[in-house]
Amino acid sequence: MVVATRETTVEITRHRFTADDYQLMGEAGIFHPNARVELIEGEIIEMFPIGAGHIGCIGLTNMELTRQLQTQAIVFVQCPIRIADDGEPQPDLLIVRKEYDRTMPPTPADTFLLIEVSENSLRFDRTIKLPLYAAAGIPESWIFDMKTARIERHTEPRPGGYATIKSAGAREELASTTLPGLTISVDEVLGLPPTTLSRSGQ
Amino acid sequence: MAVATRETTVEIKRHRFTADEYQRMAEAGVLDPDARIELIQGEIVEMFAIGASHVGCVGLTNWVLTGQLERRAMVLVQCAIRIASDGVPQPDFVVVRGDYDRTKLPTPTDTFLVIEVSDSSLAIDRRVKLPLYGGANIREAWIFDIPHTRIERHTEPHAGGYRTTAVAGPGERLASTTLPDLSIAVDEVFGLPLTGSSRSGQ
Repeated sequence: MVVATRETTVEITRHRFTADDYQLMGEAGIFHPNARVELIEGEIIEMFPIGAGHIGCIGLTNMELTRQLQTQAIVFVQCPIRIADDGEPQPDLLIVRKEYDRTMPPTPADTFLLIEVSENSLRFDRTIKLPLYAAAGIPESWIFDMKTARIERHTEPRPGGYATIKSAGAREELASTTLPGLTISVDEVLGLPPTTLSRSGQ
Repeated sequence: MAVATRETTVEIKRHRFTADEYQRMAEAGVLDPDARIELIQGEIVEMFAIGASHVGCVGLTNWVLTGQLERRAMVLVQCAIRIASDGVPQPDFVVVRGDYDRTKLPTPTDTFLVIEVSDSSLAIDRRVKLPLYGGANIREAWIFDIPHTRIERHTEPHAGGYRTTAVAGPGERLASTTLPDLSIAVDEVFGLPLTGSSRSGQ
Protein backbone atom coordinates (compact mmCIF):
# COMPACT_ATOMS: atom_id res chain seq x y z
CA MET A 1 0.00 0.00 0.00
CA VAL A 2 1.19 3.48 -0.71
CA VAL A 3 0.16 6.12 1.79
CA ALA A 4 0.28 9.58 0.30
CA THR A 5 1.17 12.35 2.70
CA ARG A 6 1.76 16.00 2.13
CA GLU A 7 5.44 15.54 1.53
CA THR A 8 6.03 12.12 0.10
CA THR A 9 4.69 8.60 -0.30
CA VAL A 10 5.39 5.83 2.18
CA GLU A 11 5.33 2.10 1.44
CA ILE A 12 3.69 -0.10 4.04
CA THR A 13 2.64 -3.75 3.96
CA ARG A 14 -0.81 -4.83 5.06
CA HIS A 15 -1.23 -7.99 7.07
CA ARG A 16 -2.75 -10.71 4.88
CA PHE A 17 -5.18 -13.26 6.23
CA THR A 18 -5.62 -16.88 5.19
CA ALA A 19 -9.05 -18.33 4.45
CA ASP A 20 -8.70 -20.30 7.70
CA ASP A 21 -8.04 -17.08 9.67
CA TYR A 22 -11.05 -15.55 7.98
CA GLN A 23 -13.27 -18.49 8.91
CA LEU A 24 -12.02 -18.31 12.52
CA MET A 25 -12.78 -14.59 12.63
CA GLY A 26 -16.33 -15.31 11.52
CA GLU A 27 -16.73 -17.95 14.22
CA ALA A 28 -15.22 -15.69 16.89
CA GLY A 29 -17.80 -13.03 16.06
CA ILE A 30 -15.28 -10.43 14.91
CA PHE A 31 -17.56 -9.22 12.13
CA HIS A 32 -21.00 -7.84 12.60
CA PRO A 33 -23.45 -10.56 11.49
CA ASN A 34 -24.67 -8.27 8.72
CA ALA A 35 -21.20 -7.21 7.63
CA ARG A 36 -20.78 -7.48 3.88
CA VAL A 37 -17.14 -8.47 3.54
CA GLU A 38 -15.10 -10.83 1.40
CA LEU A 39 -11.56 -12.16 1.50
CA ILE A 40 -9.72 -11.23 -1.70
CA GLU A 41 -6.04 -12.18 -1.96
CA GLY A 42 -5.63 -12.12 1.81
CA GLU A 43 -7.35 -8.78 2.32
CA ILE A 44 -10.75 -8.23 3.88
CA ILE A 45 -12.69 -6.03 1.55
CA GLU A 46 -15.96 -4.25 2.13
CA MET A 47 -18.40 -5.27 -0.55
CA PHE A 48 -20.12 -2.62 -2.58
CA PRO A 49 -23.48 -1.60 -1.16
CA ILE A 50 -26.16 -3.19 -3.30
CA GLY A 51 -29.02 -1.10 -4.62
CA ALA A 52 -32.61 -1.96 -5.44
CA GLY A 53 -31.82 -2.85 -9.07
CA HIS A 54 -29.10 -5.27 -7.99
CA ILE A 55 -31.36 -6.91 -5.41
CA GLY A 56 -34.16 -7.25 -7.93
CA CYS A 57 -31.85 -8.86 -10.47
CA ILE A 58 -30.62 -11.39 -7.90
CA GLY A 59 -34.22 -12.25 -7.05
CA LEU A 60 -35.24 -12.71 -10.68
CA THR A 61 -32.12 -14.73 -11.44
CA ASN A 62 -32.60 -16.95 -8.41
CA MET A 63 -36.17 -17.62 -9.48
CA GLU A 64 -35.06 -18.46 -13.02
CA LEU A 65 -32.17 -20.71 -11.95
CA THR A 66 -34.17 -22.73 -9.45
CA ARG A 67 -37.09 -23.01 -11.88
CA GLN A 68 -34.85 -24.49 -14.60
CA LEU A 69 -32.50 -26.54 -12.44
CA GLN A 70 -35.04 -27.75 -9.88
CA THR A 71 -33.04 -30.21 -7.74
CA GLN A 72 -30.26 -30.88 -10.27
CA ALA A 73 -27.87 -28.48 -8.49
CA ILE A 74 -27.83 -26.17 -5.45
CA VAL A 75 -28.17 -22.43 -5.99
CA PHE A 76 -26.43 -20.27 -3.36
CA VAL A 77 -27.22 -16.58 -3.12
CA GLN A 78 -24.43 -14.36 -1.75
CA CYS A 79 -22.58 -17.15 0.01
CA PRO A 80 -18.81 -17.50 0.26
CA ILE A 81 -16.79 -19.85 -1.92
CA ARG A 82 -13.26 -20.84 -0.96
CA ILE A 83 -11.23 -20.27 -4.11
CA ALA A 84 -7.72 -20.18 -2.63
CA ASP A 85 -5.76 -20.26 0.63
CA ASP A 86 -6.19 -16.50 0.74
CA GLY A 87 -9.47 -16.05 -1.10
CA GLU A 88 -13.10 -16.38 -0.02
CA PRO A 89 -15.27 -14.10 -2.13
CA GLN A 90 -19.05 -13.95 -2.10
CA PRO A 91 -20.42 -14.12 -5.63
CA ASP A 92 -24.05 -13.05 -6.04
CA LEU A 93 -25.07 -16.52 -7.23
CA LEU A 94 -23.19 -19.78 -7.12
CA ILE A 95 -24.33 -23.13 -8.50
CA VAL A 96 -22.73 -26.25 -7.03
CA ARG A 97 -23.09 -30.02 -7.04
CA LYS A 98 -25.71 -31.29 -4.60
CA GLU A 99 -23.16 -33.73 -3.15
CA TYR A 100 -20.60 -31.10 -2.14
CA ASP A 101 -19.16 -31.39 1.39
CA ARG A 102 -21.50 -29.22 3.45
CA THR A 103 -19.12 -29.07 6.42
CA MET A 104 -16.94 -26.62 4.46
CA PRO A 105 -17.55 -23.68 2.16
CA PRO A 106 -17.97 -24.86 -1.46
CA THR A 107 -14.85 -24.96 -3.63
CA PRO A 108 -14.19 -24.51 -7.37
CA ALA A 109 -14.27 -28.30 -7.87
CA ASP A 110 -17.89 -28.30 -6.63
CA THR A 111 -18.91 -25.42 -8.86
CA PHE A 112 -20.76 -25.43 -12.19
CA LEU A 113 -20.86 -21.68 -12.53
CA LEU A 114 -21.14 -18.44 -10.65
CA ILE A 115 -22.73 -15.10 -11.43
CA GLU A 116 -21.76 -11.58 -10.43
CA VAL A 117 -24.48 -8.99 -10.80
CA SER A 118 -22.61 -5.77 -11.48
CA GLU A 119 -24.06 -2.38 -10.94
CA ASN A 120 -21.45 -0.22 -9.19
CA SER A 121 -18.94 -3.05 -8.94
CA LEU A 122 -18.46 -3.75 -12.65
CA ARG A 123 -14.80 -2.83 -12.90
CA PHE A 124 -13.91 -4.64 -9.70
CA ASP A 125 -15.81 -7.74 -10.82
CA ARG A 126 -14.24 -7.71 -14.25
CA THR A 127 -10.64 -6.79 -13.47
CA ILE A 128 -10.14 -8.37 -10.03
CA LYS A 129 -12.69 -11.09 -9.35
CA LEU A 130 -13.08 -12.75 -12.75
CA PRO A 131 -9.32 -13.37 -13.13
CA LEU A 132 -9.30 -14.90 -9.62
CA TYR A 133 -12.25 -17.16 -10.49
CA ALA A 134 -10.47 -18.27 -13.67
CA ALA A 135 -7.19 -18.89 -11.88
CA ALA A 136 -9.09 -21.02 -9.34
CA GLY A 137 -10.40 -23.16 -12.21
CA ILE A 138 -14.08 -22.21 -11.95
CA PRO A 139 -15.31 -23.47 -15.33
CA GLU A 140 -17.84 -20.74 -16.02
CA SER A 141 -18.38 -17.22 -14.66
CA TRP A 142 -21.10 -14.81 -15.68
CA ILE A 143 -21.36 -11.06 -15.30
CA PHE A 144 -24.79 -9.44 -15.46
CA ASP A 145 -24.01 -5.84 -16.35
CA MET A 146 -26.95 -3.80 -15.10
CA LYS A 147 -25.73 -0.53 -16.60
CA THR A 148 -25.57 -1.71 -20.21
CA ALA A 149 -28.30 -4.37 -19.78
CA ARG A 150 -26.05 -7.12 -21.12
CA ILE A 151 -24.90 -10.45 -19.75
CA GLU A 152 -21.51 -12.06 -20.34
CA ARG A 153 -20.57 -15.73 -20.13
CA HIS A 154 -16.84 -16.34 -19.50
CA THR A 155 -15.50 -19.84 -20.16
CA GLU A 156 -12.18 -21.73 -20.62
CA PRO A 157 -10.44 -20.62 -17.41
CA ARG A 158 -6.69 -19.97 -17.56
CA PRO A 159 -4.33 -18.72 -14.84
CA GLY A 160 -4.67 -15.14 -16.12
CA GLY A 161 -8.40 -15.06 -16.91
CA TYR A 162 -11.05 -16.65 -19.10
CA ALA A 163 -10.15 -17.37 -22.72
CA THR A 164 -13.65 -17.05 -24.19
CA ILE A 165 -16.36 -14.48 -23.55
CA LYS A 166 -19.80 -14.52 -25.08
CA SER A 167 -22.26 -11.72 -24.45
CA ALA A 168 -25.97 -11.15 -25.03
CA GLY A 169 -28.29 -8.14 -24.83
CA ALA A 170 -32.00 -7.41 -24.69
CA ARG A 171 -34.27 -10.10 -26.19
CA GLU A 172 -31.31 -12.51 -26.46
CA GLU A 173 -30.36 -15.55 -24.41
CA LEU A 174 -27.25 -17.59 -23.62
CA ALA A 175 -26.90 -21.24 -22.60
CA SER A 176 -24.56 -22.55 -19.94
CA THR A 177 -21.70 -24.80 -21.08
CA THR A 178 -21.49 -26.65 -17.77
CA LEU A 179 -25.21 -27.18 -17.19
CA PRO A 180 -26.52 -27.95 -20.67
CA GLY A 181 -30.20 -27.58 -19.79
CA LEU A 182 -29.73 -24.05 -18.44
CA THR A 183 -30.46 -21.04 -20.64
CA ILE A 184 -30.46 -17.46 -19.40
CA SER A 185 -32.74 -14.95 -21.05
CA VAL A 186 -31.47 -11.39 -20.65
CA ASP A 187 -34.99 -9.96 -20.44
CA GLU A 188 -35.96 -12.32 -17.66
CA VAL A 189 -32.98 -11.82 -15.36
CA LEU A 190 -32.73 -8.07 -15.92
CA GLY A 191 -36.50 -7.63 -15.86
CA LEU A 192 -36.72 -6.15 -19.38
CA PRO A 193 -39.02 -4.71 -20.51
CA PRO A 194 -40.78 -4.19 -17.18
CA THR A 195 -44.27 -4.51 -18.63
CA THR A 196 -43.97 -8.09 -19.90
CA LEU A 197 -42.85 -9.56 -16.60
CA SER A 198 -44.82 -7.58 -14.09
CA ARG A 199 -48.12 -8.76 -15.54
CA SER A 200 -47.16 -12.35 -16.27
CA GLY A 201 -48.74 -13.86 -13.16
CA GLN A 202 -52.14 -12.22 -13.66
CA MET B 1 -7.61 1.98 -2.04
CA ALA B 2 -6.84 2.07 -5.72
CA VAL B 3 -5.77 -1.23 -7.26
CA ALA B 4 -3.91 -0.69 -10.51
CA THR B 5 -4.56 -3.33 -13.12
CA ARG B 6 -3.44 -3.61 -16.68
CA GLU B 7 -6.50 -1.84 -17.96
CA THR B 8 -7.68 0.59 -15.37
CA THR B 9 -7.82 1.57 -11.72
CA VAL B 10 -10.46 0.05 -9.46
CA GLU B 11 -11.62 1.65 -6.23
CA ILE B 12 -12.22 -0.78 -3.39
CA LYS B 13 -12.71 -0.30 0.31
CA ARG B 14 -10.84 -2.37 2.86
CA HIS B 15 -12.57 -3.48 6.02
CA ARG B 16 -11.33 -1.38 8.94
CA PHE B 17 -10.97 -2.96 12.34
CA THR B 18 -11.61 -1.38 15.70
CA ALA B 19 -9.15 -1.75 18.57
CA ASP B 20 -11.70 -4.04 20.26
CA GLU B 21 -11.96 -6.30 17.22
CA TYR B 22 -8.17 -6.36 16.99
CA GLN B 23 -7.95 -7.42 20.63
CA ARG B 24 -10.55 -10.15 20.15
CA MET B 25 -8.74 -11.44 17.06
CA ALA B 26 -5.61 -11.85 19.14
CA GLU B 27 -7.60 -13.68 21.83
CA ALA B 28 -9.33 -15.92 19.26
CA GLY B 29 -5.94 -16.96 17.87
CA VAL B 30 -6.47 -15.32 14.49
CA LEU B 31 -3.37 -13.23 14.95
CA ASP B 32 -0.16 -15.06 15.73
CA PRO B 33 1.20 -13.87 19.09
CA ASP B 34 4.63 -13.50 17.47
CA ALA B 35 3.33 -11.57 14.48
CA ARG B 36 4.93 -8.15 14.18
CA ILE B 37 1.82 -6.20 13.36
CA GLU B 38 0.13 -2.98 14.42
CA LEU B 39 -3.34 -1.52 14.02
CA ILE B 40 -2.98 1.83 12.30
CA GLN B 41 -6.17 3.74 11.47
CA GLY B 42 -8.18 0.53 11.38
CA GLU B 43 -5.76 -1.37 9.16
CA ILE B 44 -3.53 -4.21 10.27
CA VAL B 45 -0.08 -3.35 9.07
CA GLU B 46 3.02 -5.54 8.99
CA MET B 47 5.86 -3.90 10.86
CA PHE B 48 9.22 -3.53 9.22
CA ALA B 49 11.71 -6.28 9.84
CA ILE B 50 14.19 -4.92 12.33
CA GLY B 51 17.86 -5.13 11.55
CA ALA B 52 20.89 -5.55 13.79
CA SER B 53 21.50 -1.83 14.30
CA HIS B 54 17.86 -1.31 15.29
CA VAL B 55 18.05 -4.18 17.78
CA GLY B 56 21.30 -2.81 19.17
CA CYS B 57 19.88 0.68 19.58
CA VAL B 58 16.83 -0.73 21.40
CA GLY B 59 19.10 -2.59 23.79
CA LEU B 60 21.30 0.42 24.49
CA THR B 61 18.28 2.69 24.93
CA ASN B 62 16.69 0.24 27.33
CA TRP B 63 19.84 0.44 29.48
CA VAL B 64 19.75 4.23 29.42
CA LEU B 65 16.04 4.46 30.26
CA THR B 66 15.87 1.86 32.99
CA GLY B 67 19.21 3.01 34.38
CA GLN B 68 18.07 6.61 34.76
CA LEU B 69 14.41 6.08 35.62
CA GLU B 70 14.87 3.19 38.01
CA ARG B 71 11.36 2.63 39.42
CA ARG B 72 9.92 6.08 38.74
CA ALA B 73 8.31 4.94 35.48
CA MET B 74 7.83 1.67 33.65
CA VAL B 75 9.63 1.04 30.36
CA LEU B 76 7.67 -1.12 27.90
CA VAL B 77 9.71 -2.40 24.97
CA GLN B 78 7.92 -3.11 21.68
CA CYS B 79 4.54 -3.40 23.34
CA ALA B 80 1.15 -2.31 22.08
CA ILE B 81 -0.43 0.95 23.23
CA ARG B 82 -4.05 1.81 22.59
CA ILE B 83 -4.10 5.31 21.17
CA ALA B 84 -7.52 5.43 19.47
CA SER B 85 -10.60 3.33 18.83
CA ASP B 86 -8.90 2.24 15.59
CA GLY B 87 -5.24 2.50 16.57
CA VAL B 88 -2.99 0.06 18.45
CA PRO B 89 0.59 0.70 17.36
CA GLN B 90 3.70 -0.86 18.88
CA PRO B 91 6.32 1.81 19.47
CA ASP B 92 9.84 0.62 20.27
CA PHE B 93 9.48 2.17 23.74
CA VAL B 94 6.55 3.38 25.77
CA VAL B 95 7.41 4.92 29.12
CA VAL B 96 4.31 4.81 31.34
CA ARG B 97 3.26 5.45 34.91
CA GLY B 98 4.22 2.50 37.07
CA ASP B 99 0.66 2.27 38.45
CA TYR B 100 -1.19 2.14 35.10
CA ASP B 101 -4.08 -0.34 34.87
CA ARG B 102 -2.27 -3.50 33.81
CA THR B 103 -5.49 -5.33 32.95
CA LYS B 104 -5.71 -3.13 29.85
CA LEU B 105 -3.30 -1.87 27.25
CA PRO B 106 -1.63 1.40 28.25
CA THR B 107 -3.24 4.56 26.90
CA PRO B 108 -1.93 8.07 26.12
CA THR B 109 -2.94 9.35 29.57
CA ASP B 110 -0.65 6.74 31.15
CA THR B 111 2.23 7.73 28.91
CA PHE B 112 5.18 10.02 29.58
CA LEU B 113 6.77 9.46 26.20
CA VAL B 114 7.16 7.06 23.29
CA ILE B 115 10.28 6.37 21.25
CA GLU B 116 10.48 5.02 17.72
CA VAL B 117 13.87 3.72 16.65
CA SER B 118 13.86 4.35 12.93
CA ASP B 119 16.00 2.66 10.38
CA SER B 120 14.09 1.58 7.28
CA SER B 121 10.86 2.75 8.94
CA LEU B 122 11.88 6.41 9.17
CA ALA B 123 9.36 7.72 6.62
CA ILE B 124 6.42 5.90 8.24
CA ASP B 125 7.45 6.81 11.74
CA ARG B 126 7.71 10.46 10.84
CA ARG B 127 4.81 10.88 8.44
CA VAL B 128 2.26 8.35 9.68
CA LYS B 129 2.94 7.42 13.29
CA LEU B 130 4.12 10.72 14.75
CA PRO B 131 0.95 12.58 13.63
CA LEU B 132 -1.11 9.77 15.21
CA TYR B 133 0.78 10.08 18.48
CA GLY B 134 0.30 13.85 18.43
CA GLY B 135 -3.38 13.44 17.57
CA ALA B 136 -3.76 11.02 20.51
CA ASN B 137 -2.26 13.66 22.78
CA ILE B 138 0.84 11.69 23.75
CA ARG B 139 2.83 14.47 25.34
CA GLU B 140 6.26 13.57 24.03
CA ALA B 141 7.38 11.37 21.12
CA TRP B 142 10.98 10.72 20.15
CA ILE B 143 12.48 9.44 16.95
CA PHE B 144 15.94 7.92 17.05
CA ASP B 145 17.02 8.42 13.46
CA ILE B 146 19.66 5.75 12.77
CA PRO B 147 20.49 6.75 9.16
CA HIS B 148 21.32 10.33 10.22
CA THR B 149 22.67 9.49 13.71
CA ARG B 150 20.44 11.95 15.48
CA ILE B 151 17.55 12.00 17.88
CA GLU B 152 14.44 14.16 17.74
CA ARG B 153 12.18 15.13 20.63
CA HIS B 154 8.68 16.16 19.59
CA THR B 155 6.54 18.03 22.13
CA GLU B 156 3.30 20.06 22.33
CA PRO B 157 0.95 17.62 20.64
CA HIS B 158 -1.95 18.83 18.54
CA ALA B 159 -4.43 17.14 16.22
CA GLY B 160 -2.01 17.00 13.30
CA GLY B 161 1.24 16.13 15.08
CA TYR B 162 3.63 18.08 17.30
CA ARG B 163 4.37 21.78 17.40
CA THR B 164 7.96 21.72 18.64
CA THR B 165 10.90 19.56 17.65
CA ALA B 166 14.34 19.56 19.25
CA VAL B 167 17.17 17.71 17.51
CA ALA B 168 20.52 16.45 18.81
CA GLY B 169 23.47 14.82 17.04
CA PRO B 170 26.71 13.10 18.04
CA GLY B 171 28.23 14.47 21.23
CA GLU B 172 24.91 16.11 22.21
CA ARG B 173 22.08 15.22 24.56
CA LEU B 174 18.42 16.09 25.07
CA ALA B 175 16.33 16.06 28.24
CA SER B 176 12.73 14.91 28.46
CA THR B 177 10.07 17.51 29.23
CA THR B 178 7.73 15.02 30.90
CA LEU B 179 10.36 13.20 32.96
CA PRO B 180 12.70 16.06 33.94
CA ASP B 181 15.49 13.88 35.28
CA LEU B 182 15.74 11.84 32.08
CA SER B 183 18.41 12.97 29.66
CA ILE B 184 19.38 11.07 26.52
CA ALA B 185 22.90 11.22 25.10
CA VAL B 186 23.01 10.51 21.38
CA ASP B 187 26.33 8.70 21.69
CA GLU B 188 24.96 6.34 24.33
CA VAL B 189 21.85 5.18 22.46
CA PHE B 190 23.68 4.77 19.16
CA GLY B 191 26.72 3.16 20.74
CA LEU B 192 29.09 5.83 19.46
CA PRO B 193 32.51 6.10 21.10
CA LEU B 194 31.75 8.03 24.26
CA THR B 195 33.29 11.44 24.76
CA GLY B 196 33.77 12.88 28.20
CA SER B 197 30.89 15.33 27.93
CA SER B 198 28.28 12.86 26.72
CA ARG B 199 29.11 10.16 29.23
CA SER B 200 26.45 10.13 31.89
CA GLY B 201 26.26 8.56 35.26
CA GLN B 202 30.03 8.14 35.63
